[in-house]
Amino acid sequence: MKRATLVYFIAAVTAIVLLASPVQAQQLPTLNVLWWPGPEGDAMQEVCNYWNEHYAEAEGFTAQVLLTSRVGWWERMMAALSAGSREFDVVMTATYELANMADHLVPVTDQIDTWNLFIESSLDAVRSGGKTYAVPTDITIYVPMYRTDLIERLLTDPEWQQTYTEIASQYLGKPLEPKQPEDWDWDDLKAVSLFFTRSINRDSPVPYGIALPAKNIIYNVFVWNGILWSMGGNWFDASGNPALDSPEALEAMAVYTDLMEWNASPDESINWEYPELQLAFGSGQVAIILQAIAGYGELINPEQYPQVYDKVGLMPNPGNHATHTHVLGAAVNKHSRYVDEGVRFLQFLATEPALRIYLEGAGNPPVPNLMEAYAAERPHFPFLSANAVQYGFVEAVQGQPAPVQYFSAVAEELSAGWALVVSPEEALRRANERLSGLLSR
Amino acid sequence: MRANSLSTWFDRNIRYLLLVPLGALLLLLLAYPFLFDVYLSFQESQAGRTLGFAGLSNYVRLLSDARFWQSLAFSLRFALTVTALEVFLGLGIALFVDRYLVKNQWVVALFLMPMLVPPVLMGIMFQLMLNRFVGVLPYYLSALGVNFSFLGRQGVMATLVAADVIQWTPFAFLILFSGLQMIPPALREAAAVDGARGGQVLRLIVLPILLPTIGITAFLRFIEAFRTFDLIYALTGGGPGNLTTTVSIYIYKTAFEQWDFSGAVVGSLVLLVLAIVPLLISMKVVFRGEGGA
Repeated sequence: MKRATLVYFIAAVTAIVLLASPVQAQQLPTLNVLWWPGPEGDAMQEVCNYWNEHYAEAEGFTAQVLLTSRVGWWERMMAALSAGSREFDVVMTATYELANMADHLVPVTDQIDTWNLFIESSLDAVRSGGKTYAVPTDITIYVPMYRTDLIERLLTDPEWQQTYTEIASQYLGKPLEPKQPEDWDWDDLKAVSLFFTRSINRDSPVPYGIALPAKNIIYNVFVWNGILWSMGGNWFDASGNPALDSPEALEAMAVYTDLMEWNASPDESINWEYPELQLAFGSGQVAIILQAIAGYGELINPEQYPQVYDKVGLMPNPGNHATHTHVLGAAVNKHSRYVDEGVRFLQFLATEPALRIYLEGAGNPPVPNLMEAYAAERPHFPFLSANAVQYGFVEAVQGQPAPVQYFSAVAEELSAGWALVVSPEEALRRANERLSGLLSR
Repeated sequence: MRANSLSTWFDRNIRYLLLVPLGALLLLLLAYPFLFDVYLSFQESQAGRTLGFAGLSNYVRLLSDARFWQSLAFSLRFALTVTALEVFLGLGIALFVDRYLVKNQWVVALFLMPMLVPPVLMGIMFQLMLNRFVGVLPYYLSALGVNFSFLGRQGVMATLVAADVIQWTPFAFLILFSGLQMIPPALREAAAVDGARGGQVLRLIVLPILLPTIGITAFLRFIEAFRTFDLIYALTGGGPGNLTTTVSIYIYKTAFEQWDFSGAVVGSLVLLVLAIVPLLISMKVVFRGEGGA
């Protein structure tokens, strides 16, 4: 009996192996797309599913997404690229990592003929040395968000307006009057922040006027950089020398340091970034935040933020409205065995149907047509598109987007200034010195 | 005759032969990366590529970088503070449990719970618990009229120390409690029969015997605290500026934000050399204590 069971078992295993073998032999090669988990990973999975369903057989390869944790993602990916890894064929890149990755990527400037779909600043974000290395898949800009109910009352209540003017006179030396947010300059933003700070105006409905993202982290430099550019400043002068000691830079620093000194932003905001700002605004405790626009999509969700979901306003950066553009994109690993296949996948990805799938899967592709079309589902898309088109910029160093080294150095030095640990002048001097050091390497 | 001598040689050296596989593995896992690090420290590197021989320039650059010394000073200050607090509190709790709760093992398990939380998760938990607007602690404190900014300029250092102490005092407690359990009850009973009071038993019997264990505990905590990374990185990112940057954060940022692997390796090697000094001191204390016991 036992012997018969054994024979049946061996026969079954043999049959499975024989039946499976032809399938194995016919299997198409798989293009591995290295992405990170979250909305972007889900969106890319949808694109790969579509590819596998409609194109895989004709093109001769399937595509699959490889996800690894967001924590330490860039470190792991760069280490793998540096080691010449062939474990992935298409890889996610970002504005501030592109310069470091470019040596390991395949330029696709001439292989793709649909670049005109994209917002120009998003393409600047994936160019290095005049070559385009990636198809932009997600775009972010950084702008102020404000409580619409509070600003509406400020614009209509004479008593509030009188107090506002008094506060502006006292702290800014100017008798300012309330304006529509889109007409603000940075002094107006300061005045509104002061007005809604309870330690300055005890009738303020919220304890703090603003929450500043002042933690020592590169993303917070993206926010501050918008202020600098909106005042006409830049990290570098026309000759390419560091220019963070300019009057514009000092003025941009003063937006943070003044508000910190006046306690208009909570003291612990020196250690705050995106999530803490969302909590501060979402819990109805501050009137303004300077935030990545992705935050808006979360704040208007009534389940997530019941206190403010219907009171969130978006405005362009005061001044000339310049806004830092941050982009994620898909690039081909130069060390891959499937470079041609990778390029063909990118050609597909750079089409409107593919990017529509990516968008529907929760991505933010920088394609104005699509962003306009999805205004109902993502109310901030038209604003994002218009601002990125008109005012989006990419901080560049020697013909390529400034790499993470630069942002990290600037974050470290400026965060000391934002937190009033050193004077704004000293923070800018040190940041300038660090930029010089990086340029000389 | 020859077979006999071979057998004798084998018997005499079998202990070394048995170590060969493990030794080879350790050599591969430790010696190769170490030697590669030494090689890399003399290379110029950028974004994961070596660009050629750099002589001592990486060492000169690191040793003349004020930020490195600041991070070293912060690590030292942080490690000394938390080690002292953790050993003191750990010892106090161990003595208390040993005296009053030794039969309630669930109490011991309860004390150990914070240690089981990954430090980075601890950092995130503290971020939420201490958040001015949604945190549980500021909520209750403000109800009592206390308004304290845990992660603000004045409070950040105390908060980091408190977070580390909450997480790692259980570790000190665990080792010291085990040490206390090893002391034969007869010694204390004999002292009590001779008329020694509680304080005298502690000072003259328990603490001298426990001294090597205290030394080991302090040494282990000091080393761990000195190279703290995740808890502080999650809470402050090393900032504002580099006010709370530990050496580990400095090395991490050099490697993965500056993409300067050579600089990071030099930092690690200098740290290794510096770590040898406390290691030797603590070993001396430990072994002297054992001899005395």
